[in-house]
Parts: sequence; structure tokens; C-alpha cells
Amino acid sequence: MTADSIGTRWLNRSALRTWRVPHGRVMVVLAGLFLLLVIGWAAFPGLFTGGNPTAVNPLATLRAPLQGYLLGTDQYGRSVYTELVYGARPALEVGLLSTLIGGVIGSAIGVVGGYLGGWVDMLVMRLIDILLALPGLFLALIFIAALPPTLENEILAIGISAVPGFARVMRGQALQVRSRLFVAAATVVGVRRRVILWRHVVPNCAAPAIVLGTLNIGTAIVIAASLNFLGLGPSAGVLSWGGLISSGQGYIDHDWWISTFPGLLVTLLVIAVSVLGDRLRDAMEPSSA
Amino acid sequence: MPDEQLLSVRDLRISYRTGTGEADLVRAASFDVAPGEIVCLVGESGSGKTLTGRAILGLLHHNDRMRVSGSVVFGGRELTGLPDRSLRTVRGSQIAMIFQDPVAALDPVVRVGEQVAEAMARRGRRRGRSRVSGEIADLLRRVGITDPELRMRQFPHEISGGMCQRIGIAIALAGDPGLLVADEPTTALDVTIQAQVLDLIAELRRERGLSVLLITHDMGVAARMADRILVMYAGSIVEEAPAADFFVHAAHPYGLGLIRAVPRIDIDRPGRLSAIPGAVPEARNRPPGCAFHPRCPVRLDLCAEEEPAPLRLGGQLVACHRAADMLTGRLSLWDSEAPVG
Amino acid sequence: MASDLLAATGLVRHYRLRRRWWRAEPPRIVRAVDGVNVRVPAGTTVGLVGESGCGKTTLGRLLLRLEQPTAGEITFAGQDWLAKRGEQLREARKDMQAIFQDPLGSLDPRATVAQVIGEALAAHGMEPAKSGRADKIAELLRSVGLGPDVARRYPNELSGGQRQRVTIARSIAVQPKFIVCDEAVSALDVSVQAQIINLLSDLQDALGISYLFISHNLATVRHLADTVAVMYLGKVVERAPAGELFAAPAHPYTVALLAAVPVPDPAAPRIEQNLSGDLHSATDLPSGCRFRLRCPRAAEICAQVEPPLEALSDGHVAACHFPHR
Repeated sequence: MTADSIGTRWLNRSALRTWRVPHGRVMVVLAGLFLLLVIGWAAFPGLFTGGNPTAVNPLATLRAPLQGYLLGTDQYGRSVYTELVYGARPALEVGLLSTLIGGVIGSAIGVVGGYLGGWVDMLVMRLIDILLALPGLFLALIFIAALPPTLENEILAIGISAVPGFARVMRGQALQVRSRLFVAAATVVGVRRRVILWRHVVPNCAAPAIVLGTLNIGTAIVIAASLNFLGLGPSAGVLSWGGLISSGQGYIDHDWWISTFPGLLVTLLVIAVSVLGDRLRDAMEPSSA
Repeated sequence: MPDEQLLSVRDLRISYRTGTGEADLVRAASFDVAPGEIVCLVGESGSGKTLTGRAILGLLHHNDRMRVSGSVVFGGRELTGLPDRSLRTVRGSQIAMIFQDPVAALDPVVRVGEQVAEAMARRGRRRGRSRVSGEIADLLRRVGITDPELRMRQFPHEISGGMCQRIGIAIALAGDPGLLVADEPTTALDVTIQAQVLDLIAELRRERGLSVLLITHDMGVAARMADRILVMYAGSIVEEAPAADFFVHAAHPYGLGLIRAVPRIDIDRPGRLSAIPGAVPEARNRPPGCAFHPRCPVRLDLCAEEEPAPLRLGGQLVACHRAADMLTGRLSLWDSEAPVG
Repeated sequence: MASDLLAATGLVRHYRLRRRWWRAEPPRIVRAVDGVNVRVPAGTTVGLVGESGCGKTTLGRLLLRLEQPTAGEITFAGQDWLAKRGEQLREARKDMQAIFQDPLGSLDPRATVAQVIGEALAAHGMEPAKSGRADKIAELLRSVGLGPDVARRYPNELSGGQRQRVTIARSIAVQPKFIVCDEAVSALDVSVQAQIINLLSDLQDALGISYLFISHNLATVRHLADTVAVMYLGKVVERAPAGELFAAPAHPYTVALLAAVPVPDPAAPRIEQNLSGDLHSATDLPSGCRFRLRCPRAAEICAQVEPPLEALSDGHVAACHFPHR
């Protein structure tokens, strides 16, 4: 009965019903198609570009987009499009593998700590709190600075930097599942703690972990690009979107395409992943149906 | 007859759009509430009793997937199809509602007194601050709240469930309504508190001539409060009877089954309870014919084919092919319990 | 007392509320269960009634070893029940089962009925070889009135009554001696409630199981219980054989509680005995008798001396200075 609530009602009735719902569906489809495209790049780069990402061409440096090259060329005459296509595989590798590492270790710490409770849980969680106080990028920076610059180490560093986030969220989830009645019922019937953990607590924590993991892939790709931009990460031979942004930095005034297209790509990829992650969350939460 | 009624509901139908089609949640419900009368709408979960109560207040209109049709006439005025603004006036001042969860029905971050004041203001009783707070205190005292000056300053979580329900009643009364729709108002309360709240409702009816539509699943509450009983099953009103008749000789097998299924505190009834086999069907899987027939111990073949029309027998209105036999006592129920599925 | 299956004496469960550091006050203590004795003779049903917050659910959880009592002793099946720990406790749990109020909540949404029951059997090495497993589960389902096809289903595909039958099947799968039923029928529809009550009494007749039947619904308790204990704010205030308690209640609280229950018969005589006021909180109890602030019979002595449970007749005890006779 206040103006405000009338306003929301109006929104609810017209805007949400006729606009947002199909709009949401369109977003999900677009995000899915985009993700499929990038996965295609990573799997079969040769199908999407005839060029060689490392072929230097001194005769075609700094060409603008659509001047014989779809997205232009960089200062060494390499096709930006080809570089983006070939950069997809390392980018997705970093995103997926580091999420897997961080997700598995973090979830394990969180779920076991939350389910068992007690002083171990206390200690681990205080440690996690300290790590959480640092942003993920900074954490990854610390680790990568201490390790030799290879792709594997980059994955490891980014993965470890994701551990505290997973641990925190999954501990909360495990605590909540632990207090549910079916866990008490299984305890009373005499089921072993280990069995309860594997058969009841873990499956009921899985859905949020998967959603969190999906969203984390985007974050991991951004962190990887940021590290590469800063010149950290795999030194030679590995193409990276972040490295591309970095190398185009000096030319941004006149030859904007070198940095802009990889930046745009990373942004779109993160948006696509998070749209799909949100959709996944909706699908996996039975209560919101 | 209809002009003597305070509330007349005719052919109320509430359907819900599902993926595959429409499911009727309430099917052609018709009933009246007279001034100063307490009518109890009894039924189990999924019977449609709560939806019926909400539909009367026009609380279902905003839901896309819900369709409401039929007529609700209150005090001679048709409420269905009224614009929102007019409905809100009706809700504030003529029909009020109290809910099952008294704590959740109050805003947790607003002091109790302010919530009552808001309800009074909605009715256009804006006056000086001190006058208003005096009126609130009076109202709270009238619903049996001791220390109203103290309670007004408290938040809902600081007071007990029973007291929250009294506040809910005070808010409902703030607009001086003619009809109170009470949806399971005591289900969340302890028995001793339930008795207090029921007494309060009965007293308000006595003193102010308030009409009450009391929605409940508890046959004990219905027996204690009702002048008239409406039994709902799977979206239909299957029996309507004066309370005195209903509890002595319910004419619908479901109504009788409900009465007999409850354990009684006042008599020793050793041995087994006469349970109704099976469970209430979901709206999507409503059986053909009489919706109760798969659970009915006295069903005929006819019951699976044809939906019985309501039949008036004395003061009772019964939708059952065997109503006449039931009333003359030629049928006995549940002598041997049917297998349960 | 050799015939007692379960005997708990002096059970206490206090919760310490966290103290606010800026307030100079002693830590507040919730006396959820405050010195309760329970005896359950083998093969009988003891009813435990009381309003919300009286400690009846906590008492059940203490007996089930889901919580540790602050003080007290429990003897179960002739053994010191509280001394059991770890693997020993886990194995012994098979003798004491539970049925909770919310059947949907007490089943893992991601496990089928067969998995739920199979897990209970496996926990105690009672699982037959592969071929016999489905038969065993079907037999258990049949004994609670369900068809074998239910085994493949998930809890959300079942009705409320069916779910509660499944939790009962899980409980009896391990052949317990004793089941704590905590509001086991309260969440069910009236027509289904009666089915489950009948099932529980049939199972008792067939298997000789003892029940502690915890409920706020006195009518249900009257129907099922042999002995009834009434709890108020953490203490038992009256205990008697069911027939006697309902016919001649002695404690004013029991009297008021019985009078407050509406009877499905408008012609039934109404005793006007409504209690005023709300349940007191279990953190700051009044001096003397806990019930005195709501009691129509309260006198000066009630504020000074807490009445002990005293025998009125054989097996009938009440904690009141002025019991009804």
C-alpha cells in the first residue's frame, strides 16, 4: 500500500512476466552457444582458423580488423583471431583444472571439517579465514612467484587460491546438512559415521559445490589472464589471452584491437559461465521450483 | 435468503495451470455465512480450504498461474472483479484475516504497536499520537493482552506465539470488520493457549456480532466453535450441516470417517481406530466420479462414474450417492478395515 | 525393577546461553530437562505429554544419545546406556530406534526407499545375500502396509503417510526393543494419522516393542499409552496409569491441559478451566513450584517450597501441594 510496493507490483506483473523470463532464456541459450564455440576452439583450433598463431609476418603488422584479417594483426603481424582461437585451450585448461584442484581440496576440507566439528575444524577454519582475507588473485600471485613458471604450476597456484572459498562455503553446507533430521535418523539406526559422511552428507552438499565450481571457472580464467598480463605464469611457448592483452598495451592508442578483443573475450566468457552457473543453481535447488 | 447472508460464495473455482493442463484446486464451492455466525471449513491438507479462504479476500488475484472464477458477494456487493484498490479497502475494513503462523504474519522489524497503528490508520483513523496510542492499548486490552503499554513497544520475536496471535486478531479488528477469516489460527499454538484464543474469538462473536469463517483440520476445534460445518474433500464441499447434526450423524462417509478417525480424549476407546484407508488425492490425479470413492467403504459402481450432486436432506447438504442410506443408519462404516495402499 | 526395559534417573540437560560480554550478569542457563525419572517396562507404551518447550523432545534425544545429559543415569536393557561409546554405542543403537515428527525430513531426499532400509540392515550385518535382499525389503515394506514397488521410489514421490511408514520400516528393520516416537503422527493428516496409530499398536502386539510416545496431543496418547507422564518446564509433574490419569488427574496443570483439549462432540460437557498466561521461559524459573504463576490453586507455600513427586495411590504420583483428589 505504499507507493513503493505498488511500484514493485507493477514491475512484477508487466516487466517480469513478459520481458524477463524469455529474456532469461535467451541469455542462457546465447551463453551456451558462446561457451560451445570457445570449447570448439580449444578442441579443434584448426577447424576455426587456417593460420598459425606463432607465424610472424613482418609485412602485415598492426593491420586493423577486417583489413584482410578478421580481428586485425599484432605488432609482429600475427592474426589476433588466430591467437585467440589457439589461446582457448590453455585458458580452459587453467579454468577447469584449477577449479577441479581447488574444488576437490577445498570441498573436502570444508565438508569433513563441518561434519566432524571439534577442534580440528576450529583450527582449519581459522587458517582458512586468514587466507580468505587475501583476494584470490593476490593469493595466486604469492604461490606463482614461488614456483617455476610453467602452465602446471600456474594451474596449481590458481587452484590453491580457490581452496579457502570452497572450504568456507562447503563447511557451511555440511553444517547445515549435518543438522538435518535424516542424519540424526541414520545415526540412531546405527549407520557408521564414515558411511553417513559419504552416503548422506557428501551427496547433499554436491549441488552447491557444482554451482560454485562453475562460477569459479570464470574467476580462474580471469586470474590466469591477470597473472599473464602481469608477466607471471608460463614463460614461453604458451599462448595466453592475458599475455595478448599485455603485449597490446603499448599500442592501445592507435591499434586498440590487440588488447581489446582478448579483453572482450575474457569478459564474455566470464559472463557466459556465470549465466550458466546461475541457471544450474536454479535447476539444482528443488525449493525454488 | 441471499440478502440475509453476510457472505455468499457461489461456484467458486480455483484452477492452477500446470505443464500439461489445468488442475482444479477448488471446484464449484458454494456456501454462505450469516451475520454473527461461526462457520467451520474442515478438511485435510490439499482439500482447498486455505485457498477458499484466501480467494474470499481476493488474495489470489495476482498469481499468474492461478485462475479464480465464481462469485463472492459480501454485504450485497460483488467482490470478484473489483479493482485492487477497492479490494484493499474491503480487506482493511470489512473482511479481515488471521493466519496459522502468528509470528510470521507480523513484520519482524516493526514494533507491535506500530503494526496495530498502521492497521488503524489504513481505516482512516488518523489522530494525535497520544490518542492513537491510547486506542491501541484499548484494542490490545480487548484481545486479552496484559500490559498493553509494554507490549506495544516490543518486537514480534520478543513475545510468545499465543500473544502474537492475539496481536494478529487486534490488527484484524482494527478495521472493525464484519467477517473474520481465520486460517488454522490455533494450529501452531499449545492446547492451553489454543483454548484461550478460541475463547477470545467466541467472545468477539458474542460481543460484536462478528462472523467467522474458521478454517481448521481439527474436528475438536470445529465441534467447539462451529454453528455450521462445511466439509471439503479434494476441492469440493462434500457436506454442509449444522454442527449439532454433523457430529451426531454426518451423512457423507468422509465426514463420518473424519470424526471417527480422531482419537478421543474424553472416552476410552480401546483397540484400533477406524482409519480411512489411502490418502488424499492430488489435484492432478483426482479420481473420476466421486473423488472419495477409492477410499470409501460403502461405494457403489456408480460412484466411480458419476459425480454426485449435492442433495438436501433435512438441514444437511450432502454430495454422496449413498447419503440417504447413511442418514437412515442403514449403512455402517469400517467394520472391517479395507487394505491400505 | 528387573522388568524395566529402560530406566532413567535424575536426567538433567542444561544449556548455557552465551553471555553477552558487555553485560555484567551471570551466564543464563536453560533448564530444558531438570531432573526427570522415566521407567519403561518391557512391552508397554509410556506416553510423555507437555506443551512446547517443556523438554519432552530433549528428553527423547537424551535417551537416543543424540545429546549428552548434563547429569543422570540411564539403564537400558540391563546395561549402563551412557557408558557406551564409539563402536560399542553404534552397535547397541540397534535396540533403540526413533520415529520423528517430520517423515520427509528424516529421509535423505537422494536415497531410494530400498537404500534407506538396506543401509539400516547393513549397519548391523543383517543384510542377506544379494538375492534375498529385495525379498527382505519387500517383507519389511509389507509389514508396514506398503507394496514392494515403493522400494524403488524416492521420498518426494511418496505421500506423507507412506513416508512415515517407510521410516517405521527402517526402525523395525533392525529388530529394536524400544522405539522413541517423537510426535510421530503430529504432522500427518487426520485420516492418515489413524492408520499410523493402528500400525504402531499392531507392531507392538506382533513384535513386543516398547514405545516412549512423545506428543502434545493428549487424545493420541490416551489411545496408545499404558502409562502417561506429564511434563512442565523440564520436570515431570504427574505420572499415572493412562486410565487413571485421564479419569482422575491430580495436578492442576494436568487438569487444565485435559480441559483445554477440544472434543469432537459439541454436546460434550465443557469444563471451564482455562489457564491464564503463557508458558514461563525455562531460563528464569519462578521460585518454588514452576507452575504456580499460572496455577488457579497457588498459595503461599507454592512460592517457597518446590513440591516433590508424591505418591497419591499405587503408581500415581504428582508434584503438587494441593492435588485434586
